[in-house]
Amino acid sequence: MRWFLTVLGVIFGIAVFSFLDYTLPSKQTVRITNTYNRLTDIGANAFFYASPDTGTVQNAQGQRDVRFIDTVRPNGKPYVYRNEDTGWIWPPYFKYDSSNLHAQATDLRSTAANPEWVSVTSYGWRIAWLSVYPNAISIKPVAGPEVKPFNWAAQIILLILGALLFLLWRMWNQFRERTIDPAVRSADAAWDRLDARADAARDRARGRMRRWWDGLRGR
Amino acid sequence: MIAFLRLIGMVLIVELIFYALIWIYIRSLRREELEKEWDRRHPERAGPSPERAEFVRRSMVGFSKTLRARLVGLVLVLPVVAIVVIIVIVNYN
Repeated sequence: MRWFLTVLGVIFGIAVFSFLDYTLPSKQTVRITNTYNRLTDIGANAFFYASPDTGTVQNAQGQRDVRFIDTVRPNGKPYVYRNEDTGWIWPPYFKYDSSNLHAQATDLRSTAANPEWVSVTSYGWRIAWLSVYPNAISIKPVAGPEVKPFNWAAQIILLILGALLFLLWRMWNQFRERTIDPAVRSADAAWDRLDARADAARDRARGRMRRWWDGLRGR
Repeated sequence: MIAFLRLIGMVLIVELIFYALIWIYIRSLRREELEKEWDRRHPERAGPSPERAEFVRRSMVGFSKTLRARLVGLVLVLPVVAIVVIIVIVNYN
């Protein structure tokens, strides 16, 4: 049983970590090389794209015209973002300016010979074999490839989540101390009273039996 | 538009759940404080008793008008402010 709970706890921890890692914003300094639209097949990986009712047009074959931003990282490896509206529910970025972002990204394109570095804020993962791309949220020019702005947004969100968790914990403790424990105590007390009454009844009955038995034997 | 209404509905539901929970929580904190106050004033009659319950009941009468109770209303305001701030930062920056 113990190992089962351990495995369950580890799986839960990994799930929470992955969820936060996917949803929280992350920043990366890159160089934009190209921006374009591409008809994209959306199948089993639909979970990693915007939900269909956010304005993205989907044709009869299940393809969407998705905006992409090609970039190169300071270490020379490529990294590709998608640029989609997020809609109103999840993830709660409420992004509806992908056209503006695309214009900005196109404006900041540069070549390897004359690089112009930008810090891209995004959420999501890049999983090449599933054709999954992180969604770019904002783009800021930075001085060079070594400049890495601090990710304030993610830290603030984590702090707020921690405070909420702490509040829920305090509320649960108060509820247990003031409602559950007294209820358990009074149920215990009631059971004890019942028990004592049963004992007394048994003693009385035994006394009567004894008297009857003694009387039978003529004492 | 439907999506936007759904957002308003879901935010409202979550806010109301938290409002109710925090409301119960701060009332419970105040009652505990009052019980301790009674025990401190009457050390010889400490512990649960009808008099103490009556004292707590009478002291709780104006509680919903206090500043602390009214601040719970922020639960309905702050998430909306946060959403507006996120919209401005993401789309108009």
